[in-house]
Amino acid sequence: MSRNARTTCTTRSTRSTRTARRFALVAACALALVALAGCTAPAEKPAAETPKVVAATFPVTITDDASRTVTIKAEPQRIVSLAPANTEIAFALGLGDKVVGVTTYDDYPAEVTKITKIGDFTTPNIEAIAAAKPDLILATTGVQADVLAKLEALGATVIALDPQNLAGVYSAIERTGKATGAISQAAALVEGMKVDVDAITASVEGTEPVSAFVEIAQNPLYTAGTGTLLDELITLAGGTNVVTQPSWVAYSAEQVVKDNPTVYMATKGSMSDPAQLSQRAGFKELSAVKNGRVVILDDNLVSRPGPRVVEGLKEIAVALHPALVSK
Amino acid sequence: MTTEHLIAYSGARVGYGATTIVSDASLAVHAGEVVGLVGPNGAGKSTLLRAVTGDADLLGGTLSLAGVDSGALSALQRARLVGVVPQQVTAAFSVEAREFVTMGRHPHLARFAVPGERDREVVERAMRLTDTLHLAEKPTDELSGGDLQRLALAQALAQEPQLLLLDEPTSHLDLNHRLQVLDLVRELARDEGIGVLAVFHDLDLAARYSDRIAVVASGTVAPAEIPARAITTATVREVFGVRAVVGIDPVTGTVSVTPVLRDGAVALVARGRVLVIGGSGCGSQLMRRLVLAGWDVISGALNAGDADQVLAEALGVDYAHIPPFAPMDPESVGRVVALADSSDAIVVSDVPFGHGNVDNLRIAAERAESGTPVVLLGEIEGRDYAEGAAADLWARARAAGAQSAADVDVVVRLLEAIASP
Amino acid sequence: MSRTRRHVSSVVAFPVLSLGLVGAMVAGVALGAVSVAPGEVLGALGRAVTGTAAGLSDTLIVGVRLPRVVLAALVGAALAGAGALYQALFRNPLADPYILGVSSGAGLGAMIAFVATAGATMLRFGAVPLAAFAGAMLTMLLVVRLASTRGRLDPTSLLLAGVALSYTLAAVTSFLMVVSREQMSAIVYWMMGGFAQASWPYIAMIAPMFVLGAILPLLSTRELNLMLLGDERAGHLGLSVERFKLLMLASASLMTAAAVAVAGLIGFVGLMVPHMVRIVLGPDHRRLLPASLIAGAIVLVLADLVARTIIAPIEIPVGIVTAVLGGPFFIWLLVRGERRR
Repeated sequence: MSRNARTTCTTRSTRSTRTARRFALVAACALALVALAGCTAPAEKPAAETPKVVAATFPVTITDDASRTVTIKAEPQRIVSLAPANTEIAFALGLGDKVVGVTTYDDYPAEVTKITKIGDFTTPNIEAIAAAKPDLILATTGVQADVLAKLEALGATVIALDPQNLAGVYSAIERTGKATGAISQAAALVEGMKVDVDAITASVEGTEPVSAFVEIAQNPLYTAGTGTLLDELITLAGGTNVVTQPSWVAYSAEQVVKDNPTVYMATKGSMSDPAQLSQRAGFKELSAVKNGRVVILDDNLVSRPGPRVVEGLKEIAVALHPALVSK
Repeated sequence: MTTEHLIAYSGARVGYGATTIVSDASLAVHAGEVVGLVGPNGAGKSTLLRAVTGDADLLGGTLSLAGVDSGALSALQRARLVGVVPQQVTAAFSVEAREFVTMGRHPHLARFAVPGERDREVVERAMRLTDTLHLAEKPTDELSGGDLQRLALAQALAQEPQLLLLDEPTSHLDLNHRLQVLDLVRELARDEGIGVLAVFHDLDLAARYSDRIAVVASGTVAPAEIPARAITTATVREVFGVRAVVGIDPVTGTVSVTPVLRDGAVALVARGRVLVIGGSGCGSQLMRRLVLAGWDVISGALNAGDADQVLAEALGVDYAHIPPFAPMDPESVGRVVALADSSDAIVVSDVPFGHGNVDNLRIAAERAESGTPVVLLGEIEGRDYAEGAAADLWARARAAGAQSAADVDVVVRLLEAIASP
Repeated sequence: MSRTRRHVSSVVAFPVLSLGLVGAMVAGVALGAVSVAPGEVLGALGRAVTGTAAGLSDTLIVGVRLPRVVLAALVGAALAGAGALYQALFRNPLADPYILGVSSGAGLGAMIAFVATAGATMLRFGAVPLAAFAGAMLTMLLVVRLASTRGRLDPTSLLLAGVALSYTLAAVTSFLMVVSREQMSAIVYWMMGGFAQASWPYIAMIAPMFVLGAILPLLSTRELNLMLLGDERAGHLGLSVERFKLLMLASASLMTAAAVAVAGLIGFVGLMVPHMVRIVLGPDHRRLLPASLIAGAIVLVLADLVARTIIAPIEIPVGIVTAVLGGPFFIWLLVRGERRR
């Protein structure tokens, strides 16, 4: 991802009216997208009518990925993020100053090191969160499901975001924008991402999809099947996932040998050195190993459903079609 | 005499670690003899055995087995020399009896050798000698205690040992099997020249089956002697604290020990001295009861070999000795008078009186007349074989204030009243 | 003369066992998550023997499955053999290879290796088994040291020391798990035991340890029988008991440590297999020990086969399979044995 889509209201207000109209149009489209994504309450802000600034008006209602309907009463000033992806989204929307709590797993952008840590991803510390006095908490579902109830009991406003694919990432960005009054920033960000994605898909268009396998964990061997974000990225990058089972799934070494993917990818957390693969029983014979098509991916780019997922897509595209896509 | 010493303890100190159990033990066991060890619990009999097997420590002195220093023997060498018949045999697992006995061949089998013809013969013989051949195919966990004990002996014999160690191996066997095992052991000693060192708790058995006996007590070992010399009244009292009649069993001709009472059972109350006039066993009960009650008991004149005399010896009761079947002579009379003078009371038992012992009664009557309390047991009718002399003396004693008692309990009570009025 | 023959004769038992092992191994190689035609399986094996194995299908059989089956057989034999030895040494039917805390030591060693190679996972291949092996052997040495009084190894002291050390080491391991969360799933999975890592280099690592550990006990079956009589009696019959116990203990621990190092903690095999063999063949170690080795191999090869095929491609940890299948089977054998009495 080459562009940092960080803009502020003041910056926008200096542009021409025509630009402002285009933004307003995009904002309207974003709102419509949010409506399509399942928002039951109508947006209360008639964005298309404002000529200059797309200022959000509160209160605002969001449906999150835990099927909860959340009302944000006022523009949040103190945001706590319980997932690195949510943190990256917040910063990308220009809300960095308002972020008062992040997890120990957070590492991007560099500013997050100075922010108070409120626990780790799987067990956030409720007391630390309460101490940060947030008026908006950006959580996820899944492992944090039981945490949601506890946080609600604290009287905090919680939104759970859990994108499973690219469209979900865009939706997450847009809903975050809506919840925090950064609607135009969100729209711009999403637009930028889509442009980048289109560029990559264009560069591999017309080529034969390359068979690929991506390893998430080594012991036991786990991979991303159909319906996962990684699977979608592989397809967009001009590849075919050899795994046909849905969701995150355990895979047998025998099957990998049988499938014999052209490209073998692994996230850095699972395997740090491509040479390691040849150590495993039978893997020496894989064509990916023999042809040196073993690539280590940065998990923070390919597994984090945030703004940098486009960079992850680029990584995968480079791995699959090194001749067509430049770094 | 250069009979080979199969076991030779010399000035040995044995025990465990830093604790000495027996010190200065000198004992030898020769080929073909059975040496028995007797003594109170905890005296160290088993320790002496265990030092031979290497399970207890030799802390000082020397112990040699068949001429070789015990410490220089490897486990295998020792096993070729010494066979052990344990006290209890537990069959925690189940093998065929023959297989069990074959385990005894281990010290003779080379590293990877399998039992061969010779081994099978030895096993067969061992089982035949111990009368266990008919059990050969049975699993050990289906055998009775007695069968197992004999099987264990067979296992030890399969080692073709020069020495057999037995640690009280028959206590839980029935009478028949007990004799069977011990008879066999003695035969083996005689016929095969095996030396046997055995621990016995039963003194009669020890005397019956041992050629020599060593008494182990208070951390020492007395020199091994023939049973008649090793087991005496004095030894039994000293070592076991038991007053027992030690005699020769009339049937087997071996020493037999009949316990009478324990030192510990005697009342500690000092009651005074009582003279018991008895004989022919009539005074036995009285003597015993009075000793138990704490009286210092002495007796009148007793013939040697008389049942009362034997008991008096056992109880440590002083008496006037007269030869068997002989009448009282002036010397013995004088002795009894002296004994009577020193007594606080006199008891006359229901012994029949004849000319040979009527002087005992005369002395009692005279004492009664001079004021010594006298108790007469029973009636004189039917007991006077002195042509009326006994009846007269009886009457004299009664006239002088001697009390009458119907049985031994009454005697004891009357005496108690006399002792503490 | 009536004979109570409760046990199966060697003439029947050993051929059956050997055939069983061959059958199990063939099944293990022929079946798996990916189905391969039997003709291809045989062809691949044949080519493996002549050294002309090529292509991915052959790789699957010879490169992925065969080492797995061979490793399972070796580990199964090692665990069952170690279990039989511990049961003889302790004269306790509840003794299993992990009784001396060897498993906790191996677990701790592996955990330390996992944490230390967190940044360089390439090293894990060699570091984890070596550290696990070292942990296991060090634990055994410590336990023996703690339990020796006056030069004698008392079974009760050994047991107590083993249990105490087990708890302590397990606690330390748990602590490390909490402190390094990222390694937790990896180490827990390792501990549950499995053969997913099997490869020829791995086998090269364990085979010598196994041979070293098995050779002495196999040559000392007569002495092992003597041990059944009790320490004292065995000594009276010429066995140097303390030295023998130490040698057998070392051999058993060597086999256990090697097995745990390459396969994690697989339960049941070491405890139950010698028992099952004892019920069928009797306590004579001349039969019990070799039969336990073969039976252990069969059990684990089959257990691994079930573990990786029953809900393929997900692999159930082997230890779960052994327990679920083995427990009821053992109960059946026990009841049958009791009824016969």
